[in-house]
Amino acid sequence: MPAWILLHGRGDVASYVWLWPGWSGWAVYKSWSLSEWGVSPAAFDTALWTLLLYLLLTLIAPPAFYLISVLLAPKRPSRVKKMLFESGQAPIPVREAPFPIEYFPYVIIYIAYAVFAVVAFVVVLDMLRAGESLIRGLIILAALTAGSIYASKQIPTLKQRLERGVAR
Amino acid sequence: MIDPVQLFNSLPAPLQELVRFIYSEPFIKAAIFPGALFSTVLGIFAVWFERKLFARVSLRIGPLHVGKVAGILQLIADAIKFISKERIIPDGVNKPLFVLMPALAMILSLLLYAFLPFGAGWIIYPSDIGLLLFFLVTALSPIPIVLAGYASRSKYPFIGMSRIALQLFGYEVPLFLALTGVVLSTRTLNLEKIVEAQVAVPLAVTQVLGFIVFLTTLLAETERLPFDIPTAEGEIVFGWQTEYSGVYFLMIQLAMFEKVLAFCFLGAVLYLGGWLGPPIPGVPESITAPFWTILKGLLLFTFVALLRGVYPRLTIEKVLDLGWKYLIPLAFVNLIITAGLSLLAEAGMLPL
Repeated sequence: MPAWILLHGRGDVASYVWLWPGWSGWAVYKSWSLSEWGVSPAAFDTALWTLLLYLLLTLIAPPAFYLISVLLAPKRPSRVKKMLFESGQAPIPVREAPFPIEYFPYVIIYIAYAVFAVVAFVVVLDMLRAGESLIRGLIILAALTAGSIYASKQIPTLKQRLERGVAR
Repeated sequence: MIDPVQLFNSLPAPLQELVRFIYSEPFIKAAIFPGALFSTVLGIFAVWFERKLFARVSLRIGPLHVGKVAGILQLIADAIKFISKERIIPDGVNKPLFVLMPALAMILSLLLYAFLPFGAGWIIYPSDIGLLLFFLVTALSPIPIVLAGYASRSKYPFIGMSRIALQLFGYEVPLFLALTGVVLSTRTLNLEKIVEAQVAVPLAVTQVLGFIVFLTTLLAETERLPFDIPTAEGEIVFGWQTEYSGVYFLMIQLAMFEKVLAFCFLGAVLYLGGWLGPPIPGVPESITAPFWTILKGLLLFTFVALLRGVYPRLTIEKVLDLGWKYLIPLAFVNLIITAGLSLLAEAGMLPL
C-alpha cells in the first residue's frame, strides 16, 4: 500500500494532507478511497493514526540524532582511535570465538519451555472463554507445573554441567 | 488583548491547517503526552534521578553544578556532550550493523510506550491485545542488543553478548508466564481493562508470587543490578557496549533507560492499580489519572534504582539458575493458584 494512502484515511485527517507534494485535494482523495483497496475506513480510526504518527516520530528520532552529531562532531581520525578496545594489551582482534558450551543445555530447555509457555497461555485463554473447561485447564497447568519443578531439580545434575570442569 | 479566534482566522489557510493538526488528538498523544516528548524528558529525568539517588546511597552528593537546583540540567549537558563527540567506528567492526543497531534498540524501546495507558483514554494505541503487543515488542528487543555485540567483533562485547543472549532469552519465559497470570485473573488482554479490574484490590496483593516473578524479570530484562552481568563494569570493561561511544552510546543508554521506565509503568499498570487512586480535590480526573500512574511507576523505578546501591552483581550461573530453576516453577505455581482462585470464585465460594 503506497504511503500516501496511509496519509489519507478519514476526512478529519485528510485535511492536512496538503503537506504532501503534488496533491490536488479532494478529487484525488475520492477517487482513491480506502474501500477501493478493500480497507474499511473504520480500521483507520484515530487510534491507528496516533500509532502511525508515533511510529513516524520514533523512526525519525535516531536519524535526527545522527544528523545533529554530523553537524556538531569533529572528525579527526587516527590509527589509535580506530583500534578495538583491549585493557592495556596490544590489540589482537578476535573474529571468531567459541561460545561457552556449558550453557548449551539451557538452549534446549528454552525450546521446551517456549512450548510450555504457549500451552499455558492457550489453556488460560480457553479457561477464560468457557467456564466448564476450568478443571481441565487446571489439570494441564498442574502437569506443566510438575514438569517445570522436575526440570528445575534436574538442571544442577545435567551431564554437560558436571563435565564443565573437565572441558576446561 | 489578542483574541485567539480572530488570530486563528487571520492566518493563511495552510497555517490554519497546521494549527488544527497540532491541536488534533493524534498529534498531542503521539508527540507530547504520552508520546515522544514525555518519554524523552522522562528518560532524561530518570537518569538524573538514578544518579542522584545512587550518590545519596553511597554518601556522595551526585550531580550538583549544572542547573541551579541539584544539578537538574546535568543530563542535558551530558547528552549535548555525547552528541557532539567524534563518531568513532573501530577497524574491523561490521559497520552497517554497528551503526544501525543502537538506532533499532532506541526505536524498539520507544515503541513500548505506544501500548502503555497512563489514564482512561491516555494511551497512544488502545488495543484489545495491548498486553500481548507490549510483550511482542519486548521479545524483539534482545535482537539489536545481541547484534550490536556481534557487530563489534571484539573480545569484551562478545562475552557481554553471549551473556545477554542467555540472560534475556532465559527470562522471557517467566515474564510471559507472569503476564499470563494477570490475564487469567483479570480476564482480558486490554491494559485499560486490566486496570479497571483492580478497583477492589490491586493485583500485587492477590498475586504476590506473580509480582515477585515480574519484578525479578524486570530487573533481568533491563539489565539492572544485580543482573547487569552483560555490561559488568570492572569485569568485562562495559560488556556489549564497550566499542560504542559518542552518539551511539547516547542512543543505547537512552534505549536502556526508556525500557526500564516502560517496564516500571507496565508494573504499575498491571500490579499496582495503574491510575486508580484517591481523587485530588479541585483537580480534574483527566489530570490526576496520569499523575497516579506516573507516581506509581516512578516508585517502582526508585526501588529498581535503589537495588543498584545495595546489591552486588550475580554470576552468570546464579542468574541462569534463578531464572530456570526458581522463577519458572514459581510462575507456574502462581498460575495454578490464580486458576484455583478463579475456579472457587466461579463456584461462588469466594467474594471476588
